[in-house]
Amino acid sequence: MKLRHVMQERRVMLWNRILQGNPPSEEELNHELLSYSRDADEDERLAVALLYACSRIARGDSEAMKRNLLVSMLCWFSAGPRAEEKLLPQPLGGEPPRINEITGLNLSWREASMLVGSNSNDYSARKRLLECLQSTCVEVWRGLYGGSSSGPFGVGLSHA
Amino acid sequence: MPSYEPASFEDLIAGVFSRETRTIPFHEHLPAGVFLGLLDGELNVEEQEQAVAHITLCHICAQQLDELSRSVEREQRLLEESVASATLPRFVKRSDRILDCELERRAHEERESTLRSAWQAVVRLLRSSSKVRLSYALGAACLAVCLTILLPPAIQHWQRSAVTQEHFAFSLQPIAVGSGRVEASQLVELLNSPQDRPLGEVAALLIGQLRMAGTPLWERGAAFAGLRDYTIKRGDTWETLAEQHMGSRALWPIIVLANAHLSGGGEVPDVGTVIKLPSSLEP
Repeated sequence: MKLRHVMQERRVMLWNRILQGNPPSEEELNHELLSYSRDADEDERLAVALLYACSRIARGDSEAMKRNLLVSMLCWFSAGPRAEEKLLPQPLGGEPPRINEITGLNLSWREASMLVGSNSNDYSARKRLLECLQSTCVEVWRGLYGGSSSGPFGVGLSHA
Repeated sequence: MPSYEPASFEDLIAGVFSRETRTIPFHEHLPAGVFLGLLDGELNVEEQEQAVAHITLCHICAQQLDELSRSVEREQRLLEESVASATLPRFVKRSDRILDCELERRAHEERESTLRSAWQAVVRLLRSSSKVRLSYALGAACLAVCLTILLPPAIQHWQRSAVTQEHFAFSLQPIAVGSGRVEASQLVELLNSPQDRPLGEVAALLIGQLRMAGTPLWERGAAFAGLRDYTIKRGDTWETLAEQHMGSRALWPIIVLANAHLSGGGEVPDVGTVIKLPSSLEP
């Protein structure tokens, strides 16, 4: 089994922890991913940096931003080929959904909001989250891989 | 730069998330025990996280988990259904037992009461000087004994040959259909003077008596469809008539009582005599 696949599996575990409300600490991420990602290709680095950034937001103080992050992650992870037979998971109250439970559901923002227990119609929250995530990603990228530029996350930085 | 050119930051991270869940052609798959542990919630947190991550990326294991999950659900449903269906007969059986006990108790009381009343009627008749009445009283007493002792078990066959309630139009229909109650005194009165009674009334009282003896006829919708004429032939006995026209030899006392005004001491009337028989019982 390729190291790349091993690391992808490890990252899915960590993504699930964020979704489950138990984001990994910076130290855990360093231990799990850092040395690998430094020698990895650009796609792997992007994935690692994004994981660091999301984890940082999920550990942050802003409850609204944490909730927006969860909603966004549900939307992004659920995008993909339609899963015809899958049922929408129950709204939060029990255990939050994991990635394998939502893949292919193509959740809308509203559906994802309901899944995390909020009934938000505030679609500007998505924009705020994207701005926060992009700035965090740029920051993380600089911290992990050095350099003074915003790196690949600086794409379309018109609203940054 | 990434392996494609995203138009925006959102496109960029959407691509990253998409790649993160791209399936991997694993060569090793989860053992069955892990699937079961996952479904039963018996894995520790780390084992569970590892298993879920693998299932997220391995479509073979995802499919297996899905099938196993459906199978477990199906088995659970079948188990619940079988438990539910097993409980009902037990309950019915139990309630049947209670009902049987109650019916037996009531039947016992009624038998006692009927026999006592019949005996009193016989004694009353014995005190009279009429020989005709004396012989008739003896016959009636015999019939009462037959009805109260022999008929209840025999009527089970009759119950199987049910007819609808609409066919029954006797004057004592409430008794016959079970909404009314036959009193022991009515039976005694019937035994005393059957010739004064319409045959329908005789039949209704008889059915009421059978029911009181523990045979709830109308619970299964059984009764006479009516009475019809029959001419006695050579070789006829009460038993053969009952077998041929009612389906069971054991039901002969019904014919006897329905023709009590002709049967005298219980003997079959002479050849050529027209008697009344319960007409065919419709299923």
